[in-house]
Amino acid sequence: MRKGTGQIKRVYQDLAEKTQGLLISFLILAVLLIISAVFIPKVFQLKNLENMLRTYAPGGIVAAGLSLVILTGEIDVSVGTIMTLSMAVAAKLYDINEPLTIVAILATGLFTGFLNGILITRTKVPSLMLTIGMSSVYGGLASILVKAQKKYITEVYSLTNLLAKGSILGIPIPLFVCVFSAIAFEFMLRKTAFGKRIYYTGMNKRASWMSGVNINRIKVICFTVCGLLSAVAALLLSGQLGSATVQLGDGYDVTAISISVLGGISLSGGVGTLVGTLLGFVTISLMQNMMAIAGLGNYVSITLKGVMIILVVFLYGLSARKRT
Amino acid sequence: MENRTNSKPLLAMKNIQKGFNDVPVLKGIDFNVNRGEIVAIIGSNGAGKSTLMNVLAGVHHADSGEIWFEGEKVSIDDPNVAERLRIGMVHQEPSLCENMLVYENIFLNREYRSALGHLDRPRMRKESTAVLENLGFHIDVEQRVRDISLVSKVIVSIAKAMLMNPKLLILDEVTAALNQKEVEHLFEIIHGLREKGPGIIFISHKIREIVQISDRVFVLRDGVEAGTFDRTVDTLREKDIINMMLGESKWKGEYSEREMGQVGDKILLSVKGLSKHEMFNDITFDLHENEIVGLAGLKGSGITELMYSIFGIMQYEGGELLMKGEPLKAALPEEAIRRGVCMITNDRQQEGLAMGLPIENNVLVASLNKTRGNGKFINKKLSTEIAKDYIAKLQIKTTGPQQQVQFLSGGNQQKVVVSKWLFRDSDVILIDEPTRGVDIKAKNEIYNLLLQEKARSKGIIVYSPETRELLNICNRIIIIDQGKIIAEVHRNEERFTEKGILEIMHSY
Repeated sequence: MRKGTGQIKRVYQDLAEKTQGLLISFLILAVLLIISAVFIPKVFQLKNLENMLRTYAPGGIVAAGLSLVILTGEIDVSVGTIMTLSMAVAAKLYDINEPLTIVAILATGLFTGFLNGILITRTKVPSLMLTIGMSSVYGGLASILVKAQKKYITEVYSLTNLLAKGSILGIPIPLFVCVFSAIAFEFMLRKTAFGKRIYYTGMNKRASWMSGVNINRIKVICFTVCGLLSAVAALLLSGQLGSATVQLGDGYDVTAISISVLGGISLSGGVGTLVGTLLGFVTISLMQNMMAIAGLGNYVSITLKGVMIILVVFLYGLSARKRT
Repeated sequence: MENRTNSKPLLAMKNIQKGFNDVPVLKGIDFNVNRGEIVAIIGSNGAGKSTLMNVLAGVHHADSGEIWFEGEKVSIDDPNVAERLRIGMVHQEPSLCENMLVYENIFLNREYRSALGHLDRPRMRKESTAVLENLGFHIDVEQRVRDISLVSKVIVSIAKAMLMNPKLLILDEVTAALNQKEVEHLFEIIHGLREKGPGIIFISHKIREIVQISDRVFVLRDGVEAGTFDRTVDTLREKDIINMMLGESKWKGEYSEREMGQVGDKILLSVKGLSKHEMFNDITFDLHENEIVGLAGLKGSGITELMYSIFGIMQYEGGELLMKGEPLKAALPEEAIRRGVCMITNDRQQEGLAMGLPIENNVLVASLNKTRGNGKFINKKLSTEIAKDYIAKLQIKTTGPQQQVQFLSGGNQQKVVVSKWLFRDSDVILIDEPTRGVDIKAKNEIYNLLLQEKARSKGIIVYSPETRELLNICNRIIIIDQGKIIAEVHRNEERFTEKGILEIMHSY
């Protein structure tokens, strides 16, 4: 009997090692796949898969940026309102010149992310508190900019539409952006000094600082990248919707956090991979898609996302405790 | 001593043994205190003083042995029991709330309340004043604690302990930060206190004070009683006490005769009049190539702060640093490292390592540009080879370069920190307690590495609480007390012995 449990334990540890700690995420994904295979086989139609990944890609793009921030041991919960603000800036400009507008959208994301990073490193206000505050600031500014119009972009613009709905080599552009950024970041994390310093800083800020690492620079860069990707996600999302409202980015903070966490990015920093984030993206997308097809709708998805965050963090904590 | 044991002692600790992680710290201690007696405990660092007191205060539980208090066997398994037995303790750093008033501090957690439930301030004011006057000390109890002098804070701490009417009072290095005059004042108060009956345990590093105040001196050495001096029988002499603390170890010659090689001519780091308020004052010395300079000092001497300031973790306020003749502002560790200074910290968990990351990452983090090989990106193979090299060179016990450092033993973790800086190859190495929590074998290995680095034209500044360790590897030892250099002893001097250094350190 004891031998049996010992064996199971060994198999478990072996699997956990081979999957680089993503076992729990894989298990959740497997459960979802089995449920959909049995009850909602429609999920597996190619058309649906393509649609699904295109529709939910903005969340994945935000999560790729946010994962970097979380790896440094910080958090940014203002990503949702950065999205809203970026498109609010765009509202007036679209009718003047579309390419210029797109530049402005990206610049807004870049600037707000940079501002978050600078404020966090200068004021030493914990990033959770600071970005809760900034989230309100950005959301408020967005409403002021569009004079509290609920819906401020109502037309379909050609270039935006193309980016949101087009494909490269049969891959939807939003999905392409998501996968490309995740892989590029993964490469950076593994192969560059900057990437190694991100992990070290996330794991132990003070030791990193005392090893000569410019931890402020690292944080500012990660926040800036996160802001930029939030703006990219906003652009693609509004292109898909053909509109933008003051609620555009609502909920994307939670979505991005749940994707990162499901992908094995530890909220205490220094642990996780962007490949894991991609896995989290697939899992969350599948879950939302299943709910949609099953007719349970968005509100159930939102509820489940919250449950998943807590469940995954709990399970990872449990397995970590077992290990030590 | 015999004449005192006729009456039952107030406190009798019998055959107390206590170890940590299989390392015995107390190896069977018998220790008594009588009513109205001041007993001093002295011993060098690591002799077991604080462990013994922690057993008495209920912080640690003895592995074996008995404690008798007022003739009854007691089991002090948590601090509340000590409090119930009326054993009071005053620590070296007064643990007062700086922002509260003196009387509020004295009555903290013992506040009087009126019938309506609010604080009875007049009564607390009156009684605080009374307690303090009982000690022969007059002070306005409505001042904020942060506004009163250091010696007053110590006295207020004692007053706070007096409130429980202690039968036994432990004074743990309360004089550490006081000057001569303040100590005299405090001693008058302690003498007055003794008349009132409680037994007093007085712990201090300063032998002169101990000779002055104690009725009995209990000397600890390596976890056993080395001996006792009783004023009624013996004459208390500083010399005898130091001899007993050291045992029959190392007298002159042993260190000064060892060949240490020539110190280089070139000055690497020049410290000129470095000062920081309340930390250190006017520190001046030069560090040469091929030289190891030891810093010696008691707790609170300001040595860690001095090292932090050279490395850029803290900012010095006065004076100047020159690195190879060029000013070093050291506003950040980053700058110090770039200029060729590194620091091996005594706190590897917080400051030295990312515990959850592999050995490899920890060794490489300060020198990542050396891991690129010829390419632009980090060469994984090269990185692993470098880590393996250091694992072999420092004999780090591990399953491999990918093992997380949190799973290594303390000594092996410390070797990873050392590897990080050896790989960085800085010219000046600062080391704060290189061997804290490290076993003897690893200790020797780390010191041998330092000697090797020295031979490679490096300059090393090392602090250790173990004078023996400094004597072993240093060309000279600078002794710092309360932030000031009080002596510098070269290897060829007569007093380059444990006794010589301790005499300077403990009697200044």
